Amino acid sequence: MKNLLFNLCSAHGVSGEEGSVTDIAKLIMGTYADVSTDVNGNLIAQFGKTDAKYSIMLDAHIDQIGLIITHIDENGFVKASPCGGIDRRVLQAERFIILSKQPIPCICCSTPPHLSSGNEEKAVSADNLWFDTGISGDKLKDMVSLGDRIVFDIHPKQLHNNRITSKALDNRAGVAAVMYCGDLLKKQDLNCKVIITLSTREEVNMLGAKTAAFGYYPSEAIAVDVSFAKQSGVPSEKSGNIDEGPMIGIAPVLDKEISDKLITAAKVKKLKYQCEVMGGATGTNADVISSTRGGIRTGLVSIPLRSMHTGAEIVSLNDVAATGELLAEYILERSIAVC
Amino acid sequence: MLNLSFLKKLCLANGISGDEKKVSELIQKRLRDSNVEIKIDGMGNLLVTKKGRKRAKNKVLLSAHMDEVGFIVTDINSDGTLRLETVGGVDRKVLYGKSVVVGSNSINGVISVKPVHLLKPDEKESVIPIDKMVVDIGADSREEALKYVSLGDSVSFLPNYCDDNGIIMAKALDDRAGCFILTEILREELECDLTCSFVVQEEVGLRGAKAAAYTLDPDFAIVVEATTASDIPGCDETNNVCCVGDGAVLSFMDRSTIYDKECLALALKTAEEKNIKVQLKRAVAGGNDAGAIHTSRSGVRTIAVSLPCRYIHSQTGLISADDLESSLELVKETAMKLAVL
Repeated sequence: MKNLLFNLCSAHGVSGEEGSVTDIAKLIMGTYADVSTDVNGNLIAQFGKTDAKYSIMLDAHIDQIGLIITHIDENGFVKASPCGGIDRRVLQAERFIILSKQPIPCICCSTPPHLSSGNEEKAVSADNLWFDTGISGDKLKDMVSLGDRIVFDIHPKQLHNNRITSKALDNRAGVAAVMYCGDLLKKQDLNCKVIITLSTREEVNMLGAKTAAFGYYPSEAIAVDVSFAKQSGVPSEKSGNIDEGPMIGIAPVLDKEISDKLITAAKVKKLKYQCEVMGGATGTNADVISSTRGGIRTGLVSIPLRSMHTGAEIVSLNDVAATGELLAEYILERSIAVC
Repeated sequence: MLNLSFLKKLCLANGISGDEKKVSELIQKRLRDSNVEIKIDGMGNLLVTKKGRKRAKNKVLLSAHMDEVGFIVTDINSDGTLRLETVGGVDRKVLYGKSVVVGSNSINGVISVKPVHLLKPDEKESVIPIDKMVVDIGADSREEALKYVSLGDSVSFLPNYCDDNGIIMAKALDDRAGCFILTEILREELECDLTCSFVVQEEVGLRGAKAAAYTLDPDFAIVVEATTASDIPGCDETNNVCCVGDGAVLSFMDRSTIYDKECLALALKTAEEKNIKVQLKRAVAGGNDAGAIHTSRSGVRTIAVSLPCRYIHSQTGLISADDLESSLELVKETAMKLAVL
């Protein structure tokens, strides 16, 4: 699990350019599932009883937040716009990589204190995001193209208590959990079809999940994402606890029966779980999947994560594994129920 | 072209003020076969002398500091997160969400960030004060954290280094670049005798240099430093201080020193004769060990040669390899001239 998640997090896949992450998943899931990619770059892995009428979709978005280059100036600096909801408070003086044909290291510009004049606590504004390559403008224009993505140059690291910190854990943690679920189910005799979609562009407009759900129109679906874990300054009613297991979503837009059955599956398997109650939409792919075509019954399972949308995200490997086990147990039970 | 492998080692080592031992050991090791005499004083300064082909008429001191800015663990919260105080001047806007390493075992941690999704609009635009920031190492309680961390442990930015296309991006270039320049000079055969100090605790008040200058009692001193370059988008050209790529920086005045006019003129002349790229620092800003050295005993005639460095005092600075080479040449040539002045 640790190796898988480290590999997934080390790869770069900003919204709209998820290919290098998808390739990792394709190699692994291709050993037991029928794997394909669709027009939006979604990776679709189908296995179980593939001719069954009943199908369950497990969706995890594979993209990560980043930035996109909008301008290259004559002194070798590039200007960029956020691609997804990046936290602008963490950008200044951080190391990044421009994902051009040849990756180029750069630093997010930060005004020195003697020129900040009282603004030293300010986050960099969205229309003033500059990155410094140190390379001369003429040379840089041949190396970089407008539209190239920029990502945090942050590698996964081990923390105490089987936790890891990295960029892109939102949502490679979810991807790792559904892949682990696939691994647990690959030798099982299922009565239903399982469709794992590793969907693209969640961080910008959830396009991947929307079109994949339309295209494969499953009988039911579960979105697997990350959610807020308790940490300093985060209210307890808005967060789960790290290491307390998957967060099972309960919300008006989610199917109540699926939520209940997920809770039952956790109890049967004696897995730690926690309930995440939301008053409306969930802010995840579950929102778009559930309203696809004539509607799809949809559940949501989230992995507690700290410091979301920064390069300092933290998850517990125990929670990632438990999420995979919960999903596998749920599918095994549904497979019996629907036959 | 300079061989930068030792600079990489220096930048990847952690050594906040008061905890410079690893840097000191690297320098001592590097100078092992360089025919130098090394003394370590009570503060931890490395005092190095090297005989040249000729005796120097004047005692010339080159000085660079080994310490870097960082943090120190002041307390541990009940939830296992660490509280920090800054060691040296660090701007809070460059800290949030950064990776750090804690203590002599280099335990991984991150400066924890309250998710942007849960913030009010005005909170999204500002970074919390440093005394509200905490480091998450994965521990769940104070007791658990105390198994791995002690109060007073040093905290450094995550070591990082890369050089490509003549550009160096790394942690602690202030002032490992200076340490690198001095080390490289000491490894060469020198024309005249030379004295160097690799000093501690610059970032917390120019403390090491004060003791070193007292002990070594030089006639002239050249402080070798990194200085802020603000030649970046959004900064007015008249405020850029100095520019990366425009050569070594000579200062006439900063917050701690008015530099010796004659020595400054000599350095400028040397640059012209030897065809070394130099620029003048275009602001009275910052300060360095010259402040302690030029006021030592009955006074030491002092100049500073600085490397233009963007994003100084953050996790990653940026310098040009050409500027590094120009600075090295300028320091060496000027020192040899001062020795026989």
